[in-house]
Amino acid sequence: MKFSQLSGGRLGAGALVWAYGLLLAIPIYFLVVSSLKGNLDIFNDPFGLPKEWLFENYSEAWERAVLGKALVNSAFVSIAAEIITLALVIPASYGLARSRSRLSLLIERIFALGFLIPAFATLVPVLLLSIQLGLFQRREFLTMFMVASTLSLSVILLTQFMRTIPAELEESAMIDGLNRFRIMWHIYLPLSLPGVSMIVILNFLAYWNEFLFSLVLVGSNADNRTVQVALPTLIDQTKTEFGPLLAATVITLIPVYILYIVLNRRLENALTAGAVKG
Amino acid sequence: MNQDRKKMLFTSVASALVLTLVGCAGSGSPTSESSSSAGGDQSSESKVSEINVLSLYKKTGDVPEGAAINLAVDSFISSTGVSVNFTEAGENLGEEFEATVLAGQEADVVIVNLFDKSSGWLDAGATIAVNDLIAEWGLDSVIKESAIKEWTNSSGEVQGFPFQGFTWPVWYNMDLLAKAGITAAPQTMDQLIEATDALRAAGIGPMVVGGNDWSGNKLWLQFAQMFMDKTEAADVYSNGGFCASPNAMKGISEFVKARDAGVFVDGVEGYTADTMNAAYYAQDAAIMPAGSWAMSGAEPEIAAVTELGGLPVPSGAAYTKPTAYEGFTGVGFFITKKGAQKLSAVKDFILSFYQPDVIGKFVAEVNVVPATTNDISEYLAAASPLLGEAVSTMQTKVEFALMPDVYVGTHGDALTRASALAYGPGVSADQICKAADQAYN
Repeated sequence: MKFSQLSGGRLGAGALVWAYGLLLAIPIYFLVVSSLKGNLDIFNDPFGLPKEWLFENYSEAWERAVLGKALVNSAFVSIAAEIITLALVIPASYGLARSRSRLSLLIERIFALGFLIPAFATLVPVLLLSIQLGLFQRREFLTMFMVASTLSLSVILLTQFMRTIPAELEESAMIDGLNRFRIMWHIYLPLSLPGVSMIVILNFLAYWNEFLFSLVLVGSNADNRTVQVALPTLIDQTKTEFGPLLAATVITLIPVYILYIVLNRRLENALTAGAVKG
Repeated sequence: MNQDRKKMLFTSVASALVLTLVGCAGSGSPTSESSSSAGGDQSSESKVSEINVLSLYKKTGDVPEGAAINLAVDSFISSTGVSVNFTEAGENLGEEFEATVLAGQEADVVIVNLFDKSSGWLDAGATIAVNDLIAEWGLDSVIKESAIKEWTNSSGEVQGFPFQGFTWPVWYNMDLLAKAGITAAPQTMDQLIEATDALRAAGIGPMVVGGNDWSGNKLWLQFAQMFMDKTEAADVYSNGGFCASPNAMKGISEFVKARDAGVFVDGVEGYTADTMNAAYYAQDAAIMPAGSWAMSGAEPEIAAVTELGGLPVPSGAAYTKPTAYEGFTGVGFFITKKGAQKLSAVKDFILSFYQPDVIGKFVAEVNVVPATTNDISEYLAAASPLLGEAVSTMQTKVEFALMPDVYVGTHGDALTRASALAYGPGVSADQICKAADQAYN
């Protein structure tokens, strides 16, 4: 299509999309550029290129915050929580989506009540629970807490998604002799992959970025702490070196970005596959 | 900013709840265990193989205090054979410590400053008083009496071992002042306002301070006590009552007058200590109040043109010279109840920091003003020249105002939020004092 053939509306929409894209790119540019600068350069020329490229900020951040261990700990907590969450959410959602009983409606509403509890209100009870169970400062307890904290939203979202799958598919499969588990595994799960991908991305972001509970439940010990707890150890009360701090921030963003890239492609594939099957 | 406030609210609420529970957990036993009773267990102490330390100081990587800390820790390990589990906590050390106390898994020693949360630990029964230990361990002749006094609470209990002190002068860039036609650092408030006009006319920012954080809070409190003697200031800082004190109101009005005369750089309410340092080091502002910890960050060319002095005072003030702060609440050692069970090892660990070579390293490499009576002159040569000036010539130019941290106690964070309001344009003295008093409710 030639430029002259573009309508004013499409030009305007295109410009808006580009402007929005640039708006999103500005903080990322600031973060990456600042991670290669010293304090003076960051504050006095925030958007300029570094006067001196301080690549050593990355090695300094890696060493000072012991980021290697922290990344492993965060990966352990996030991946374990993802697996447990999916193992619980998929059958629960399938059951709630297909059942028409009053009990299932009640259970679904109880899950929805989970949204009403502010996160920080649960901090002290959760801390006391970890102490009572003898799991204080253990990554395993943090993992279980992460699962519990995202379960309600995940179940509600996936239940709604599974309700869009025609019930006739289940009836046909039952006539063909499939049991409930195989129907869920071979029919509902593949058709729900877009929803599952969405849940995986949302939950991973929540697990990876969680700070307060990770600090209180696991603490700052370098052997156990997550990346979000490791990052503030680069903050000094009186004079913070922002170059290494932002370099560490860039490092912690990389796994999240990779996951998004991988799942985003799968999410699109699943959407297409679902459309053909549907 | 919103995210920061949310996090601050989260951590404040959580910390308050946890500290309350810590206090409840401690009920039935004395609220603060005396050091002598703790020391009584010393003989029955079983063989200790490890001590746990939670620290604001860091020793991993290329940090200024790393070499000094490692010197102390390595010397402790080699002389005792006891290993050290050294946990470097960030700015959330307080929340983490309180959670571990609740779980009964706290560190034996906590290395942190005496401000806000830490000043409530002894009362909550999380740490022990060290009055007797200071003498028993021979530190009464090593630690300055004034430092011990600062660490003593209103019940007469010493909350920990003071280690790192500071001086907190006002820095004047004499080059920039000269460009504006000012040849001497201002001594009176009128001279400061004249200098402000001259600097602004020359396109130079006048005084920069972190209006949004603790650095601005301390400067505001310096203004507030201009007309109060130290006894009255201590009372107001301990209990609130800014609005009810005519002298405090005079000081706050002086702050408002200075702010409205443009003494502070434009947008000062958004500055933090880090952006303050950057503005001064980049010579965008000619004046800043900053402590000795900032001296290592000043490039030699900035240090060369900087003269240290005090905050000018108005006529009729309680001080005749410009005021600065000095204090010893920078960093110290708290002994927890768990640490009291390993007192022999804890003693050796803490004493390893008070060795002259370790203190010398802290002076030379971290620009620390030690809370000790040691002669540090030989180490000053390796430190920033500004530190040398701060502990020598500057001392005659200023009077030291009351350092508020000890008196403000656990109201510190709330008072910082109140003083942040004061830097906003158009906020009246009445509004400021009400906000400050609310911090005590």
